[in-house]
Amino acid sequence: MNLQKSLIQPCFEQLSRRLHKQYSLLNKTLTASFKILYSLPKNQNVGCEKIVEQMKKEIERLSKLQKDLNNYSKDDQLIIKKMQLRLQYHLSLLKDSQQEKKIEKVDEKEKEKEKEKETETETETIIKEERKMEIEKEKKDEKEKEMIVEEKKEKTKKNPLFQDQIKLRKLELNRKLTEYMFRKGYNKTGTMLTERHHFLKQLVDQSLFLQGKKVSVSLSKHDLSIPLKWCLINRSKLKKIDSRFEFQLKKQQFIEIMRKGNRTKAINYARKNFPPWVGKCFPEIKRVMGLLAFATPNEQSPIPIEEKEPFEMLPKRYQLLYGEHSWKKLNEAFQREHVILFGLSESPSIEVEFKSGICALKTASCQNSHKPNQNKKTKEKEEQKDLEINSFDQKMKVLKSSDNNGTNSIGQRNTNCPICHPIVNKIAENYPRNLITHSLIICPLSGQIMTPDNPPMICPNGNAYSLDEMKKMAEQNNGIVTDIKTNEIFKFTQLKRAFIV
Amino acid sequence: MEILIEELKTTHQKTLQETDTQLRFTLESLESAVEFVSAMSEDEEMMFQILNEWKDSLHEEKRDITIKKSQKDYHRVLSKVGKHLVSLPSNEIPFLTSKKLERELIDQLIAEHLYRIGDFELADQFVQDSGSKIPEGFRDLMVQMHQILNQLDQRDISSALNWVHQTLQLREKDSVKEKEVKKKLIQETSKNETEIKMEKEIEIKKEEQKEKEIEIEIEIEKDEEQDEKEKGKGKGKENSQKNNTQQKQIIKRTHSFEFKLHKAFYLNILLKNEIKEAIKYSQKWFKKFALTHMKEIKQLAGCLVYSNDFAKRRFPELFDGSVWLQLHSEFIEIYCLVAEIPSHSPLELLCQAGESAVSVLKKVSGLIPIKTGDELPMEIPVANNFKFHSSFICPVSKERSTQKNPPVLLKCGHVISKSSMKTLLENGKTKFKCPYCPVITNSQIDCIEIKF
Repeated sequence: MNLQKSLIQPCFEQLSRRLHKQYSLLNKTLTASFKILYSLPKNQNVGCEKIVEQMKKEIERLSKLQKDLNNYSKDDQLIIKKMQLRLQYHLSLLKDSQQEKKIEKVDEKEKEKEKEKETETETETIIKEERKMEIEKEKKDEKEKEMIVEEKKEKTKKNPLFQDQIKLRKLELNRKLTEYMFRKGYNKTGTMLTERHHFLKQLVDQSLFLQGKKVSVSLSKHDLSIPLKWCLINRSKLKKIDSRFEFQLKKQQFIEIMRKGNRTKAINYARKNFPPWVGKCFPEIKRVMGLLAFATPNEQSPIPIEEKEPFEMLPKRYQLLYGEHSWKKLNEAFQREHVILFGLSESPSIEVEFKSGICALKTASCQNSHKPNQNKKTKEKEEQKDLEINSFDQKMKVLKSSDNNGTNSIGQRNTNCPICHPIVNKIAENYPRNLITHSLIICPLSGQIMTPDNPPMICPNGNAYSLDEMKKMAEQNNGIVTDIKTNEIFKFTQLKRAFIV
Repeated sequence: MEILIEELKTTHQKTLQETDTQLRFTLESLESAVEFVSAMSEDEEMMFQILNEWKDSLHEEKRDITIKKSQKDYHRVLSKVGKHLVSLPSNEIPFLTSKKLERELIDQLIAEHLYRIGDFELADQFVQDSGSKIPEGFRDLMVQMHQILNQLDQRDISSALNWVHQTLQLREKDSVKEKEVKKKLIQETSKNETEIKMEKEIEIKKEEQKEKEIEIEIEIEKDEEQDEKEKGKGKGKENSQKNNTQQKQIIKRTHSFEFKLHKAFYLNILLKNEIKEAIKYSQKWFKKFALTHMKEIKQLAGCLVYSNDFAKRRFPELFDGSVWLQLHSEFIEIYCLVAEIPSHSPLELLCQAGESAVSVLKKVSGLIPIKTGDELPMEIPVANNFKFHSSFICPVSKERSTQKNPPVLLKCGHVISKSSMKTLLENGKTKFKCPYCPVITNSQIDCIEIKF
């Protein structure tokens, strides 16, 4: 997965903003002080002491500038280092995934070693060194732990690449989890995670999400000043994305003014702020302006009409504008824009991967496992069952009762199918399943995939088991095998070999 | 990209140095000017002359302009980086955007995952922050599992042994109860001739074999009779049968797991060269495994004779600590099998599978609109260890087989779907030639529908 953009762009944005700040600071102070310095000799009437004073002031100002710039640049260098680290991390992840594909196709031991030598580069050695540092720290513990660590080290000498690979994968998963935590606002868990794992602080943009939280907190308090400031600061970049967020904020401001009943103020506000947005958002402007014609939530009608409040007589779409719904929309829009500005994807990367995993692993038997019959009666029963089922154990029992190879099995494999897990199955209902182009048969007894060396043997009743398992059973039972699904017995000689193309 | 960032670093340093030096020079000249002026404070004309000269020299040096220029290099490289980043494609996949109902579910999944890892502090904090619910009892299961695992890592097998004994007791009680029930049923029901013959054959073999095999045969008798009478019960029956065989599998596996525990502990004692203790331990514990694990016991007993170093060379896999690592992973599998939960975190598996899937989905979603609930238009390649379900694709029609269109076994052993078999039958004929070999199959006699 191309993480480059989402990893490095936030750093880049930070750097460019800092550059702007520094540059403007530099410009201002330099022009101001040099102006004064150039003008000094012209003030012939001014006394000597005052000239000296002014010069000393300029000295102070310039030395302060020097200090500020130094401080800025120290932090800048840290950010650049962070960028480099992230790039290294990204490259080593890519290399690992490429190597994984090669290893799958090729025989294991010998050719692995060859490729280890070919692909070791500086970036990997840097990361390995840092990991070795970690391992050395662990060694300072009790003796028994030392023993274990030493043994593990011996293992790593045999397969150094694998060990690094496993750690990298874990780190990547943890990175995604921390990003998810910060995005959703679970800050305590996020900070706990960063404390547990070494590089996470460098890899996750905690500050970015915390900044974003300030704005969203103010939105939840129905305060528009902070979001408007934010829009001002980021105006040029929001334009590049072609965002309408600023307009939506102003629309909400208009609604708030209307809520208080002050129509003239509202009209003035609209005259000032809406014209630049007419090109893009004219329909929305029209609808919002329509609010002027209707009663506001707190207004009383001069002529009492029935027993209803005048506000309740409004068409629904206008009523909605005054409600909580528009604030929620604003919040969501902010979350999106905020994240896109910094080059991150709209939904957290763990969700994207998780869902593409669902698409990759979902099969028709996973789909059917929670819906054994399609009749109406059974559907009602299912709905009742769904209401009753709360505990995990009960859910698993329901799974087992379905007549499908996917969920109940004796070989351990099929209970491990992640899509058949009750929670995942609910999510997976909305996503397509993977296309299957080749047959794949799994033995219900051993959980292994049947190959031409271990072909399926078909019993006279139609059930299929792998040759190896049937052989074992026959050896233990004097040539008699039992069909586990129906408990019928057959002789081994009655089984027919099937050839799957 | 790497090169760009390196360049960025170097230009940043350069600009910093330059601005620093330039500012330093200006400050120096300012300070010296101040000295001169304060020295010449009495003579005004001289003072202004000096000031003028100093000002002209400042003008010539143009330090402020050089400072501003030096910033430009850094600015240039930074904007290059920015352009490169903008040109990279985004990670958005349109049909995968999040929906409201999913958020709670995903939170629940993540909570499960965190409990599985064993980091209970973190997991509890997450549950607090997100307000997600975890299934009852799951937390306690995981706590127990991790307690035992921690002990195993410290080479202490006591709690693992306790757990093993507990589960074996529970399962064996259940199987004993079922045996009694079956025996009663058999006594009540009548038998056919063929069944009697079968029974006799089987009984002869029974006497020579163990308890477990007797169970299987009793089940067969009972079920054959009951199937004749009660056809409607179908699923419920299968369930109890499957549960029964599942129980047996579990008993087998825990039994061999117990042996591995004892083996690892025994090897540990050997490592410390305490041979007498090792002998005592083996005498105490290895008896019950004599029937099932004789080969391994022989090997272990043989290790007593060798001295430590020689044993390490002769059986390196026993003494290098890999036994404990294997125990660790096997315990997780068995514990999850007994508790009837998946042994790997579904979140982790899905993310692993998803990594390679994302790039494929991105390409395709740009070209073809993907409808949810259907099949994808192309195949996402998936490694074999992610395959959990059987699926059969007819080699003739390339269709996936379903309950309505099952695969059919021909006389020659080839398998095609029922619908393609029907197309091969012409005009009411019953025989046809297999598409792969010259063997002729009779569709009414020789074909068997297969249930994968």
